Amino acid sequence: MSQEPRAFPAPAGVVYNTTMARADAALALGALYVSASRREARVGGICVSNAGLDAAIFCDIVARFYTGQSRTPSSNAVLPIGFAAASPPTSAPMVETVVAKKREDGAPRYVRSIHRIADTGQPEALLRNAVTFSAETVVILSAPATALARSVELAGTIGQYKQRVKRVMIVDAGGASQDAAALSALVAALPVPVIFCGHEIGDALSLPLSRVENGFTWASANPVLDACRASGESTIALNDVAALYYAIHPASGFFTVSDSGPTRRLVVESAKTEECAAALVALATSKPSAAPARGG
Amino acid sequence: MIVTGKSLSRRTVLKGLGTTIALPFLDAMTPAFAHAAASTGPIRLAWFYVPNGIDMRHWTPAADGTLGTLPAILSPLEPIKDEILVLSNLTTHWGRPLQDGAGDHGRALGSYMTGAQVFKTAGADLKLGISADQIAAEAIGRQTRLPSLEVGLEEARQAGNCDSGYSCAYAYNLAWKTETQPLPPISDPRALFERLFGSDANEPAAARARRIAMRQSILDEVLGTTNRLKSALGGTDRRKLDEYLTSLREIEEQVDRAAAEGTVIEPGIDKPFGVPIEFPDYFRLMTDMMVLAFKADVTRISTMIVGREGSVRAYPEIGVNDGHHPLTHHQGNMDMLAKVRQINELHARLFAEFLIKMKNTPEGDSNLLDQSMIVYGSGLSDGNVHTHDQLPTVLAGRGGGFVAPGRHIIYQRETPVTNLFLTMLHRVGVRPEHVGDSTGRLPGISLS
Repeated sequence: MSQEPRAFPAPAGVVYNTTMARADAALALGALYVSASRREARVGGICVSNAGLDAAIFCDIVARFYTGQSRTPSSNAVLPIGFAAASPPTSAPMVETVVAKKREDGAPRYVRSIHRIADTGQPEALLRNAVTFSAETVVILSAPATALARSVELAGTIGQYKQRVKRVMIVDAGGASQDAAALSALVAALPVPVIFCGHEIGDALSLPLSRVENGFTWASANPVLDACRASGESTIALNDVAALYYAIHPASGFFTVSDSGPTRRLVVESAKTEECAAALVALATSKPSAAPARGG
Repeated sequence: MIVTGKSLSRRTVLKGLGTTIALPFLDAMTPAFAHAAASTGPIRLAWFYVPNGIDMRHWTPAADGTLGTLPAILSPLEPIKDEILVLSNLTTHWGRPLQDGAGDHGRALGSYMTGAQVFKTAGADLKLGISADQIAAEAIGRQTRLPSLEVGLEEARQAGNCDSGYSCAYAYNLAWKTETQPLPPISDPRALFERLFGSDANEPAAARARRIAMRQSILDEVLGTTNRLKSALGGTDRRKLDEYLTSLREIEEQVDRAAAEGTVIEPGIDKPFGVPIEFPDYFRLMTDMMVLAFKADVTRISTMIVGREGSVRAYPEIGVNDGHHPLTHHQGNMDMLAKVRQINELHARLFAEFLIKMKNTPEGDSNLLDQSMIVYGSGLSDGNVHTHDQLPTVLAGRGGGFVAPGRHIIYQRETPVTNLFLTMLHRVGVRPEHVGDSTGRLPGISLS
């Protein structure tokens, strides 16, 4: 098989399945795009589960905002946002607020390319396809396990996981266990390490909203900041951001993984809790790096 | 119609020396008092593949729901729009580069009906997947003389590097019997005619050559059995049989004419010997044979490659003297875009003619189009930048009452096009767990 030689290894892909219902999730999404702009990670795929269409629109808004794509891009350039609707489809107030924001002229405050369900991606196909791109991918599940479990059941997906997925991280705060049967089936089927991120992670890495706000001095209007403010959370527990940080920087020294018992769990190094929180919030509130100039 | 307790087998043929001709569906083949069940008759499946993508700005209907005035490229289908579904947002994920770099054309056609990753090789170590038509052929192909029929309008190369390290076998073959065995399409009209209506396996080569040289019809070979059969048929069936044999003879004459014309082959154009000089005539001749093959129930499964991926065919008949593939890399040049649109419209017009012939071909109380599900599409949407999602897809026919046509359905993006193929297979009673990368059946095709 002839392959084009690769000059340097591609950064690890991150597939993020979220309900996008907490400020932490909005911060994690921003952090993912910041990491991608630094070429420390690659956005493998984003899928919204158990939510209303506004949650998918919000993810699209953040993608456009952080990647500087003010126009609808060619479909070749960006994968759509996967979307599995809740029944009935309802979104968190924080995303509804951001989606509804208008400029003075009445136009939407933030550019988006999703206007209807047909603009989103079929969740099972998107989650399956997302793990076929890179030699190394981490999947973060912070939503009910329904869609991810279905994608893993599809023919050929387990083989892709064996080949390309380094680990799957399951964030308790995202409600993975709301579909307990799907979660059990998923964990039983996965041929790669599964690491649970329990509520204790968020308990250890909770920050006041003001500390997050202080990080966003680089943009007067930012959809992630707007979402955090609209979430009504005065203290933000960084569950998803911690999972993302570990996915991208597993050797940071901030985390260990317990390997005792039937499940592996992410553990914050107690001596480094404050340092870890600072690193997480710095990443989540950073300005994305500018794309290098052509030839640069 | 003569009502008797016995019925003529659907597999009844006219036999002569080295020649076997299948029969069309006759009333005598319907068991007595079984007309009420006519809509449950055999369903035909067909796939038409057009190369190099489509100018989607002039393809996609403005809104979903009932089809209104069709966009320019689809406008030739206007007279028959109540018989088609336009399906938007379907994807061939494995056509994308992923980690395999350039070669979108090789991957586009290869992955289209297999839903599988195209192993990048220009050598003999081909690896792909089983195409949807062949999954069907394996399950129900034994019910007809030919399990499936592969037709193409460009001579199929099976070796060599056709696209950035991808074997020509991927760009020229839509049907794959196994992961490693493509089924090359027949592009020579005479070869197709004889595969369908002659028994080239049994007819001695010398006898065949003599018959062709003497311009004898294969119908002459079966004259005796034809007359015997006619005497046993009712008046309606005799008329149907005469019409059918007349059609067959007309096509045979066209094939003979094409063979005579085909001695003049324009340099630089992939064209087998004996092909009509003008592309529309070629398309019509080959699809006329497909119609007749479906009518005679020679096969119920067919693929048609209108052009191989990366085709550089020029269309001087419509004033387009540039190659198709170079034109699709228009980079926004309006003159080139206009020519791409002309080609897209020509293909759609010829497809519409085929559909109308199918609709005008009665079968039982219905017609061939009602009894068919025919896909028209491509594994590329925007040929300029090689996009493998939001593909152009039309499903024509009613599938024996299963499909509710006349609508535009927009699916969620990333929905595999193989979901459509899986749905079609289920309709004909073939129920594989999946077709390549399918994720399930496509909802909304029928209203029930």
